[in-house]
Amino acid sequence: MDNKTKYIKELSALVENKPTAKQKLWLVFLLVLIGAGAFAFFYQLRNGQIVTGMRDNVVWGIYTIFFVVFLGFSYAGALIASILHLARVRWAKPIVRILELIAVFSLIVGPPFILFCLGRFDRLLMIFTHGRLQSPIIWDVIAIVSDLIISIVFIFITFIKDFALLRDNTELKIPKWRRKFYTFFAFNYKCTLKQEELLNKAHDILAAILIPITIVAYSLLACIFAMTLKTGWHSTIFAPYFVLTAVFSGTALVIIVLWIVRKVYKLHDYITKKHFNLLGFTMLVLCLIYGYFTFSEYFTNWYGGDLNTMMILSKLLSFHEYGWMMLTYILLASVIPIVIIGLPWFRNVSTITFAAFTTLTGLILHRFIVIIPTQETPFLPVQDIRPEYISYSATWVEWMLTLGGVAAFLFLFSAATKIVPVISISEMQESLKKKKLKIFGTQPDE
Amino acid sequence: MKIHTAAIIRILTSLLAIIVLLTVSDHLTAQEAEPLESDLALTVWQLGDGSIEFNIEISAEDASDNYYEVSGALVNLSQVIGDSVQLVAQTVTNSAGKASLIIPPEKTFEVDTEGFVYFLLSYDGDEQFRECEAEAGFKRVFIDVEIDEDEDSSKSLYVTAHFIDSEGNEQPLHDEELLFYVKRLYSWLPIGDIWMEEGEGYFDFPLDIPGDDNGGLTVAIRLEDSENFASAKQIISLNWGIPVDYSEKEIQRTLWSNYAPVWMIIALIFVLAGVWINFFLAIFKIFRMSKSKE
Amino acid sequence: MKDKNDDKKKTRRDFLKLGLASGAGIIAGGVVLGNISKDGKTPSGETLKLLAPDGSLVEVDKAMIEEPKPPHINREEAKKGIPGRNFVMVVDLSKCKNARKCTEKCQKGHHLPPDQEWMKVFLLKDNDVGPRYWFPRPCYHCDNPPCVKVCPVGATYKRQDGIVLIDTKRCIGCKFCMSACPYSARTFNWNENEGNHVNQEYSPETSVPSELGTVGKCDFCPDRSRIGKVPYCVDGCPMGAIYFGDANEDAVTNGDATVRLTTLLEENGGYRYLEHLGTKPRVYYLPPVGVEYERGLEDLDENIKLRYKDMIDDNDLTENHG
Repeated sequence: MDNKTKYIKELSALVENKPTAKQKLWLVFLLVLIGAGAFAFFYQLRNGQIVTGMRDNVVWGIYTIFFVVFLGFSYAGALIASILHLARVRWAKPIVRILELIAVFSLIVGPPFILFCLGRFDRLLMIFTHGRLQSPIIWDVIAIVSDLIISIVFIFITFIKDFALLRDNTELKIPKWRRKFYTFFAFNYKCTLKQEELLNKAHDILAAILIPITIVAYSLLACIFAMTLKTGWHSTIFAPYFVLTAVFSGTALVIIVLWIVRKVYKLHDYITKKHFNLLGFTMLVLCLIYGYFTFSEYFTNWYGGDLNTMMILSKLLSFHEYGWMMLTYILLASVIPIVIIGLPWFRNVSTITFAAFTTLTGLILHRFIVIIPTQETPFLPVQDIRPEYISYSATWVEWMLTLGGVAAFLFLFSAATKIVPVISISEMQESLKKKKLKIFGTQPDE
Repeated sequence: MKIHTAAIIRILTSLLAIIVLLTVSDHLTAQEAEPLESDLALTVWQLGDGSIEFNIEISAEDASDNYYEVSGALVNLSQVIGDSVQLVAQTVTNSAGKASLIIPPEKTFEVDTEGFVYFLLSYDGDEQFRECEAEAGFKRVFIDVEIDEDEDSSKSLYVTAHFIDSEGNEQPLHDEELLFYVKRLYSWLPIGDIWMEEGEGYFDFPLDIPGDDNGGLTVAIRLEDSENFASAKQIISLNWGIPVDYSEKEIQRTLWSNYAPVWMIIALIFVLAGVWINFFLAIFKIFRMSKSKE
Repeated sequence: MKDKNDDKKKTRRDFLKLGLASGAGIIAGGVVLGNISKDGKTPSGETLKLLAPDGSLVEVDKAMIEEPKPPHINREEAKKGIPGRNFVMVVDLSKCKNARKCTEKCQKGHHLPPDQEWMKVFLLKDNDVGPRYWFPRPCYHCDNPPCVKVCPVGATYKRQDGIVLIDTKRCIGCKFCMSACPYSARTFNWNENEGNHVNQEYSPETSVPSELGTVGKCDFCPDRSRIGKVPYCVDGCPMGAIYFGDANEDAVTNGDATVRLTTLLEENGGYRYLEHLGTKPRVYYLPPVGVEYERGLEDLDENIKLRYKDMIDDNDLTENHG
C-alpha cells in the first residue's frame, strides 16, 4: 500500500468511527457544562449584572478576558494556517486543518463573551442600527463579522477536496445524510485540472486576505483598551503586543490540541515528534519576542515613573495584590517553556505539550494582569468602602458562564472531528507531490 | 359589710374610669399636633414704572429641623393707616410656598406725616401652620435713566432719582448708593455702583460685558435695602454689550460627534472593499468550479 | 368615565379663567400666580376668591398653583441643547468643607440610590507636604469627551451647549464609556432600585427615571437651567463653593454671589483637573487655599468617613466616633 492510498484510507476512516463510550461521556460532560453556562447566562439576564463581580471601577472582568483569549486563538489559528498554506510548508500539512478548526470555533465562541458584559442584552441590535463609526467597539464588530463570514467560507473551501473524496468513497460506512452533506459541500468537484486550478486560486485568495484581516482585527481589539486614556492600557505597543500574544497562545493551543488528537485518533504516523519540535521551537521564538515586548512595555513605563504607572506596578509587585499571580505567570509562560524547549535535556513530545499547557495558562493570567489592575487604578483614588468596588473577584455566575463557553468550544471541536477528517486528506496528498502547488501562478522554488 | 364592699367597688370603678378617661384624653390632645411656627419672608421692590412688587415666601420648620414650604396659603396685603388696616389685594402661595403681588402704578396710597407708606402682609394660619405676618414701610421713590453716548465712544448712564415727601412733593434723592447689574441666565451680575448727590449721578458703563447677538443687555439700577425707601429698581435695555454669536454652529465631524469624520468613512470603505472584492472573487471562482464541465 | 370628563372640563374652565385673570394682570400689573399646572392635575375642588390688585375678584383653585416646572424635553430635542448656552462650573476648593449637601441634593433630585453618587467628594493630597483638601467631582462635560468618542451607539452625546448627556433608552450597557472616562465620573445601574420606577416621563435632561443595566452620570441639570435654576449641587452647597453659569455670558453664580467667570479664574488661579489629558473639561477648580480638611470629617457617617481612611491619620478616624 503506497502512502497515497494509506492516507485516503486511514484518514477517511476517521469520519467513519462511531464515538466510543469514553468519547460519548466526554460529549455529555461538555453538554452538562454548556447547560450550566446557559443557566448562568439566564440567571444573569434575569437578575442583572449585579450578580457578577464587575462594578463601577472594574467594569470588565473575566468575560472580557476570555473574549480576548478566544479571539486570540481564532486570529492566531487563521493567521498561522494561512501563512503555512501560502508558504506551501510541507511538514505543516497535517496541522493546517486543526488550525483552521480552532480559528473558526473560537471565533464562534469568543464574541458572545463580550456580549455577556452588556448591561442591556435586549438592545444588542442597536449596535447595527445606531452604530457609530468612531467607536472601537464598532471597528471590532465590523472586523469580527467580516472575519467570521470569511473564515467560515474559507474553511468550507478547504473541505471541498476532502468532501469530494469522501463522497466518492463508496466503501465508507456512513449514514445517508452524511453522504448527502459531503456531496453538497463538495460543490460538484470532480478533480479535473481546471477545477483544481480554480479551487486552488480561491483558496489562495482567501488565505491571503485572511492574513491582514486577522492582524487588523486583533489590533482593533487591542484598540478597545489602548484607545482609552487609562494608564496601563493607553500604549502604542498594545496592538502588536496583542497580536504577538495571540500567536504565542495560539501556538501553545495547537500543540495541546495536536497532542490530544494524536492520542485520541492514534495519528502517530501523521503527527510526529518533528511537528512537536518545530512547533515547540516556534513557541520558544514567540516566547522570546513576547518577553521582549513585555520588557519594552513595562521597562519604558517604569523608567518614566509617572504616578499611576508606579501605582499599578507596585500592585503587580506586591504580594498582597498581584505579586503571586505575576510570579506564577512568569513561571508558567516564560521560565517553563524556555527551560523545557530551550534546553535539549527535557525536550520530548509530552514535555513540549506540558510547556504549551503552562504557557496557555500563563497567558490567560497575563490577560488578567493586563486588564484588571489597570481598572482598579483610576486617576482619582478609589475612595470606597465596598470591597467589590475596590478590587475585582469573579462570582460563580461568571465562572460558570465562562466554563460553559470553554465547554462549547471543546464540544464544537470534538463534534467536528467526527464529521470532518481532522487531518486534511488533500493536503496530505499534496505533501507527496514532487512539485509544490503554484502560489498565485508562480512556482515556489524547490 | 356587704354594702360597704359594694360602695368601695363602685368608688374604685369610677376612679378607674376617671383615670382611664384622663389618660385617653391626654393621649388625644397629645396626638393632635401643635401647629408649627411659620415665617413670612418679604421682599419689596419699588419698580421704575411706579408699581410695587411684593415677593412672599412662607416657610416653617419643626423641632427636628424639617423644612416646610407652606403652599396654598392665602396672603392678605393691607395698607396700614394709623390704627386702621385696609385690604389692598390677596394672593395664594404656590407649591413652593412662594407668591408675588404687583400693585399697579395707578393705585395711590396715603402717606403719613413723615412721607411713609406702611403695608402689612399676613397669613392667618391653619391646623398645620401658625399665622404669620410681615410689615414694610417706605417712602415712594422713582429712578430715571438717560442713555448718554459720547462721540469718543465712552458710554455712560445719566441717572436721576427722586422721592415723594410727606407733602406729596418730589424731592431729589441724595446720599444713597445705586447699584448696577446686568441680567444673566441665573442671576444679576453686579457691574458697579454710584453715589447719588442731589438726585443725579453718572455711571460709566463697562464695555466688556457680553450681550446677546446684537450686544443687547438688560440692565438693572437698584437702590437696595435702604432705611427710608426699602428697595427700588429700574430696568432698561441697552445695546452696549459685546455681541455674542449664538447661532447654531455647523455639526462638526469629530471623534465625539454623531457623524464620523469623512476620512474615517473613506478609509473604512477602502478597507472593506479590499476585503470583500477578494472574497467575492474567490466565491466566483468556486461558483465557476462547481459549474465547470470537463 | 363621567367623573373624569367633568374633571377635565373643570380643569379647562379653571385654566381659562386663570389665563384670563393673569392676562388681565399683565396689563394691570395684577396677580402673578406662577405657572398653572397643565399636566392635567386634578383640581382640589377647593377654590378661593381673591381680591386682585386691580380691585376685581378672581377665583383660583388651590391645587392648581405650581412652581414653574421645566418643559418636558424628549429624547430627540435633548440632543440639541439649550440654544446659545455654554455651561461651565467653577468649584472653589478653598471653600469646600465636605458638608456633602451637594451630593445629597443631587441624589435626591435625580432619585439616585445611595450607592450611586454622581457628585462625589474625594479627599486628596497632591504630595507629601501639600495640604489635604476636599475635592468635589461632578461630570466634567469635557469638550473633547473620551466617553462620547467610544460610545458604540451614540447613547451618550455632546450638545451645542456643551453638556454631555446619556440617553438611557439607547444605552446598551457596554460600559466602554466608563473605562474611557479618566475621572471615574460614570456610574452603572447594577441593581434594581427606586430610581428605575419613578413615575415621570423620561427625559435625558432630567435623567429620571433611570434604567437598569445602563450608565448614569452628572447631567449639569439642564432641566433646571431651562427655568432659570442652578443645578442641585450648586443650590445645595452651604459654603457657596460651587459656581455655575454660562461662559458666553462670562458669568457664574453660586446662588448667592454672581461674578464674572474670567475675573474669578484670573484672580484665584483657576485650573482644570488633569489638564494634560486634553479632554478640555468644563469644570474649573480654584486652588485649595487654607483648607481645614478636618472640619469635613465632623458629623460624617461612619461608613462615609471610612472611605477616607487611607488619607487620614488613625486618630482622626476614631476621634469623633463615640
